[in-house]
Amino acid sequence: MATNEHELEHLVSRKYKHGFFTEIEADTVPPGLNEDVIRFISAKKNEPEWMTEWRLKAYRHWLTMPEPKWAHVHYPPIDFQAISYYSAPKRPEDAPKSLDEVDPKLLETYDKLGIPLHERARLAGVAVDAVFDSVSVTTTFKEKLAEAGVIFCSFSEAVQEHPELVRRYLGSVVPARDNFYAALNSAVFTDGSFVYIPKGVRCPMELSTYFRINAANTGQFERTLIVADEGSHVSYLEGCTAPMRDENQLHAAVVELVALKDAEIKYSTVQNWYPGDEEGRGGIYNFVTKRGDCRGANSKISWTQVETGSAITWKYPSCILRGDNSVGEFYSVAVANNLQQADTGTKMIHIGRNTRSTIISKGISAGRAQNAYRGLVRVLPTAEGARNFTQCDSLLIGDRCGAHTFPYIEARNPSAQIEHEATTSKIGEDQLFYCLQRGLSEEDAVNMIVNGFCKEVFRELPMEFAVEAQALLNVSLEGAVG
Amino acid sequence: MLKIKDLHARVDGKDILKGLTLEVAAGEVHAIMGPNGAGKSTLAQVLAGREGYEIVSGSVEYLGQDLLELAPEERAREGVFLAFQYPVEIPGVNNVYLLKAALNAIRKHRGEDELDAYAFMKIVREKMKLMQMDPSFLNRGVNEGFSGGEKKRNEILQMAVLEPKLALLDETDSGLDIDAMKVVAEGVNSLRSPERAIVMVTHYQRLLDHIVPDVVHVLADGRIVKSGDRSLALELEERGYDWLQKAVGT
Amino acid sequence: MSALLESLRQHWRDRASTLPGNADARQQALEAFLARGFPTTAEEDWKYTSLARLEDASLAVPGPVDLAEAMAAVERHAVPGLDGPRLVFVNGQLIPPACRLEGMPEGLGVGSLGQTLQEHGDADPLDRVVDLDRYRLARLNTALFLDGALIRATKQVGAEKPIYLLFLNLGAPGAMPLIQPRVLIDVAQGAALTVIEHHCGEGEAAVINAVTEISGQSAARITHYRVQEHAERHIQIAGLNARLDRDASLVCHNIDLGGALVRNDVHARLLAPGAEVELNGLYFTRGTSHVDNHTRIDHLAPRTTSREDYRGVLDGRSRAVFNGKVLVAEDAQKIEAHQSNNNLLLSRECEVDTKPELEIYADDVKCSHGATVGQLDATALFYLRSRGLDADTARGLLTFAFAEEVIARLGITPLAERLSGTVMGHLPDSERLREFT
Repeated sequence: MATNEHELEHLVSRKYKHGFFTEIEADTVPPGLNEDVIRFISAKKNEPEWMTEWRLKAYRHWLTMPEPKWAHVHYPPIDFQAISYYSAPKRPEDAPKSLDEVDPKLLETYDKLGIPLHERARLAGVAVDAVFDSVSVTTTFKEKLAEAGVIFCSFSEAVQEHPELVRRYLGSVVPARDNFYAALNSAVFTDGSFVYIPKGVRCPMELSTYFRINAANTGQFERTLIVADEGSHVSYLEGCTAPMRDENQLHAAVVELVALKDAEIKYSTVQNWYPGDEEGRGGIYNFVTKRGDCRGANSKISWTQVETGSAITWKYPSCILRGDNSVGEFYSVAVANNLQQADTGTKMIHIGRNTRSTIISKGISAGRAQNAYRGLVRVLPTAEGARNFTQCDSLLIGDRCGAHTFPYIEARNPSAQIEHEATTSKIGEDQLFYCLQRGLSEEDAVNMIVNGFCKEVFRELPMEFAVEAQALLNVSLEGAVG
Repeated sequence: MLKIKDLHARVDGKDILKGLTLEVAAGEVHAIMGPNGAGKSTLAQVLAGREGYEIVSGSVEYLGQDLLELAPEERAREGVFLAFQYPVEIPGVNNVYLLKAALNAIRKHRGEDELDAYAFMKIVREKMKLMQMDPSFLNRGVNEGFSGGEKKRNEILQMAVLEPKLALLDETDSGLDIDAMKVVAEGVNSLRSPERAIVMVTHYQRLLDHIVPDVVHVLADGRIVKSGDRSLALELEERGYDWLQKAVGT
Repeated sequence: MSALLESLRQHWRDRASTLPGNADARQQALEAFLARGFPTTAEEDWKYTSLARLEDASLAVPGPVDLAEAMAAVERHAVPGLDGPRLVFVNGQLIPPACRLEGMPEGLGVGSLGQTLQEHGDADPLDRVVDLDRYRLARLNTALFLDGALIRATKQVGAEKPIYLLFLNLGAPGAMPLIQPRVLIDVAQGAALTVIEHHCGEGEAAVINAVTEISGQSAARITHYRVQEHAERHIQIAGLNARLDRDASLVCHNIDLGGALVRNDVHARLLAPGAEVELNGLYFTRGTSHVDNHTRIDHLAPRTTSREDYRGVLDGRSRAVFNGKVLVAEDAQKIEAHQSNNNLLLSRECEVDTKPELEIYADDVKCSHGATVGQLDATALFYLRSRGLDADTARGLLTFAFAEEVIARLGITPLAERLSGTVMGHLPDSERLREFT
């Protein structure tokens, strides 16, 4: 944080000149948001006119919107004029020179998570040239994808190389005016990922942001767009179990998924942004809009998320089940420890006939944290034969935390079948004693019981991710019992 | 091996054990019988270190150590095993996973190497055969959806794998039909050895037809009121507990 | 809505001097209500239920009732076979000849709230239980109600015959009467009591804004019924508020079988260990009716329990809303709270919005909720058809059985029989169904 504050101070002390963007050479704009800043970002990225206009429209609408207050979270007001909306990747000389300069606590966590040594430097932001292993992996990876005709690149690159695809699908799932943070993201997003899977193609490997090392420092207002054309299939992994160093407090990402006829998208997230310290100081505000559109018949979108990080999490990965027989799934583990606050869940909007959705949510609260599930299942009159099953369980560890459940069910078709079940309980003393009697330590016993509680969700994660997620859960709940 | 002296314990402010004294040597099998509410299960829970039981006075010495000073998991690692009257369900946690974690925790404590998956499975398969358990048990959640008999067999399987020095069987026969009881008894009998002590807590004597004890104690109103050999159990069966309670004036 | 609010103010000016009780308190309540007005759909608690149709309505505080007409209406609506104490109100006003108060057991007081206020105006027993900030419609009731029931049970009162309160609401052409029944129930330590509130009506539209306050002292046992059989144009808003002390128990049955627009709020506060509440609900909506049940249970002390089961059958173009909130406060450990809401949709145009909520700030709790929306069990349907019933009859029977589970819990035979009959009458082909039950 120190460097960033210093930087900001420096920038703030500079005099703001109206219309600076034509004169300015620096790679960073001073804090504040206005149309010039947006034009500056767009120009920096060499965007076509329509893209600039799209951003400006979003911005103008954002100005008219009130900040949402309905979530079960509390935080001091955000000063949107105090944020700097564009800064180029950090210069190597500002970054730590070696792991010796990195916070030892961070390194300790990497150790516990079993992160390979050569990866730690990259994650900690050490100024190394691209790590050798990753480069070679990336190269073979790119070749393989190109062979299959899959487009996987940064969002900026896609605007340049595939403008017709971007223009066609951008904002088609999450309109720029959708909500306060989506509008803000639409105005100022800097980069993100773009994926297009052509007709009938089964993506030959799991796509992971992890491999896309060219898009560093895009965390704050990330924009992701994935389009699965007819009959295609893709599995996308986002995030990383290791705590990423990031100095931006507000994250407002937008993710849009489009699944055409017979297509399937599986989107897995592990979110472990900095949660703040034990006293709740610092930490990321993670206000994300994620939505998938099952546009074609028989399409399927599946969200799996493991949320352990961030001071505040506010996200509802949703599915619009437009196509007949389309399927939406949401599997979530959300952990809140210390003073973390999470308000997360999903929306399943049933429009097409025989659409089906499944929601499995596991919330774990510890310390003084507040963890809320908020979900909506809406069945429209057109959704003949729609089915939903929701299971929503909360586990409490310690008597100073909270677990809340706010499910909205709106049914307007008599053939719909909707089942919602929720339970809240603490870790059973019986279970704990049983494990201790078999010789396990209390910590191991808690980890084992918690992992068992989350199993239905972990099962949905790709194998390696699942193993990492379990380790992550254990680290996140460290010190919660005792 | 186990020396309990004048043990007083209470639960929720109510005295349950009121001066219980008992000695068990290695190689012996003891049966503790008694009417409902006498404190049989409390004794088993206290020995295993369950929270919520207040030790008012008395001592428990186990292999020369003060057992009451140890945490539950330390007792387990030192070789105390409790077969629960009501084995606990832990959803989502594989049976085999718990077993492996438990065995390795105990081995580590003893200064032995942790077993790899292959060596571990070899032991488990062998013991499962003994308990006539289907291999599919291993991949089910711990006791999740098990029938009463399956749960009890699972307890003895765990005991067979963990090879404790002192096994406490709490009403292991309750809820078992005769065939299941035979399997359980066979499992227990196979674990009888000169180094191991077994303490069975039971209300009925029928289990003792299958696991023949060296000593039988009667626990009534928080104390051992009478000890004897096998024939004491038969006498109890015939005459019930009332005569005894009257005879000893409790 | 300002015209409406202005008309309320006018009523106050016209009638204030004739209303029983503390005029200052009433005026304060009115001003506080007018300051915020009626709830709107912008408020989360009113998201699915709009009172906008009141906006253009002209409301009138009802005038005197014709006795002969009233007695005839009572004859038509009163549940036969209930022979305990009875109070009858027509358009919010007591009808003494229709009441039965003789032979009251020692220690039980049942009487007119208005009369009590008239006689002891200063000792105001109102608004002791209701949370006025959360439920501000109670303020409107406090400001302008005409009469109601005051029920007090002292220590020695045991389980006696149910106390029957009949509220008959008769609409007439012209301005809609604003009828505001008020019920206060105060049950002393260890006493037991059963109260039936029966709201029904006929004729043109009327607006009913009822408020019930129940206070159960330690180990009190209270059973309360709120049965609503309004005419198809009646609008009813009803707030039931209860506070329960140590080991006190309250069982509430909420049955809605009529009305055009119905909104019920139940708010129970469990204040001390051992307190428990059970809520049973049934709503059967037809035509274009809209029935909204909001319940809230606050577990404010350790070892309190709650159970809740609401069932709905929806037909026609009707809409039902259910919102059940369970709150467990910090340090309220060893709580058990279970809630379920099941809905059966019979027609293509109906809609149900259900939201079971848990808000939990303690850890040693066992809480669960479930909500379902669906159709009749296909296996049961098949079973009946395989025994020779035609599909419609089989469906009717199973629908009846679904509702009957709630009615069967009522425990008062005359009432259960009456409601079974009403439910049966709502089902298609009810003549045939009667043969089977």
